[in-house]
Amino acid sequence: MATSPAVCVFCLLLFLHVATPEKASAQEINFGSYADYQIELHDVTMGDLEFEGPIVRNGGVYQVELADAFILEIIGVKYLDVGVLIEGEGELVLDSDSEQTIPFTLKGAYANRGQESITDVQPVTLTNNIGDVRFPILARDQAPPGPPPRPPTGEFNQSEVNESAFLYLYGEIDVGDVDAGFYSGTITINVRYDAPPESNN
Amino acid sequence: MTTKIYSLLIALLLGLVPVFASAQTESVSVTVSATVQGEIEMITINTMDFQNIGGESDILNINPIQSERAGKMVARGTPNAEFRLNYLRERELTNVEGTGVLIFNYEVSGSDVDEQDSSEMLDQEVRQLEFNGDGEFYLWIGGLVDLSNAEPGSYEGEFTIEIEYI
Repeated sequence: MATSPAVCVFCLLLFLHVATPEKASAQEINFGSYADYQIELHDVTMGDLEFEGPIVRNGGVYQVELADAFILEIIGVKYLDVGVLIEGEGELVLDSDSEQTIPFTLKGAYANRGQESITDVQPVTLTNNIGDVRFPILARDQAPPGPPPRPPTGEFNQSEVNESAFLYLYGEIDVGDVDAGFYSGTITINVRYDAPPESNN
Repeated sequence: MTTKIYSLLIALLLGLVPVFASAQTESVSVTVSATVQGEIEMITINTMDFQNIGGESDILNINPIQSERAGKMVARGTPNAEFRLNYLRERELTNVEGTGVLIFNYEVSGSDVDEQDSSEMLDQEVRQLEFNGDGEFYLWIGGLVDLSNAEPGSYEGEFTIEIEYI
């Protein structure tokens, strides 16, 4: 009996698969991995976390209140948890002289009630401007987690199950005997489904 | 039969395709910033010149935009920073040799370039202005005084101007 072309192709692929050196591992199911669900991050405030003036030398503590916070919108599947890692620098540095610094204390909070509102935010604990938090995109209150999401296939439209959570960043600086000029620092935010990414610091 | 074999083969092939399940991480960086303002300095370059200004009229007038007798000051602060300017328009001048006072009505013009004749009259009580790229703002000070009831003598007084960052 003649071998059909399809069978030849199958045998070739099977051979390649077996011959490819791969690390042997047992099959496992990681319920914490959501391969193709997307997360979108949007800057709601359209700008920096800026301490507004007039800020003067030896002026002491200046604050950005929660009501004036930098707001990051996190759009994702509403019945999944996201882990958020926040890493902020501890000082703002003068652009022309790195020896001139202003201590910076970062504060954070999130809202996951489907709308941007500071009335029912939850605080994010930060130590030395670094911290992480895990929360569902849409608060479940006391209810148990819902059913697992439908696997992302060609017919799956994630936008139908998306919701927005909001991350608020604010804080204070303590201005001492420093030179005049523009001071800046950076906050890095990493977001993924399930647990927060691990810090490199 | 052939169809079933093909279906089975496709199913087996799909089974060989490894499934990559990785947690996608999205990142964003946020800049934190603050601008510390420099201290504001006021430097007097010229005082008002009343020497030999007398004429037929009892009212002396020094136009801050047009007169060479106008006083001149420069304010120095943070480049391009906005500030609020305020000054007392009416001040008493006292006779240092006798009795009597004169009321001097100050007029001030300003510009972020050192050109008096293109300066703008700052005739509102509080003005919001901006230092130029070198952190300077120029002021010319003039005014008018009625001498019709003035006692003879020399008069002196102060000019008070306040500048603060917005």
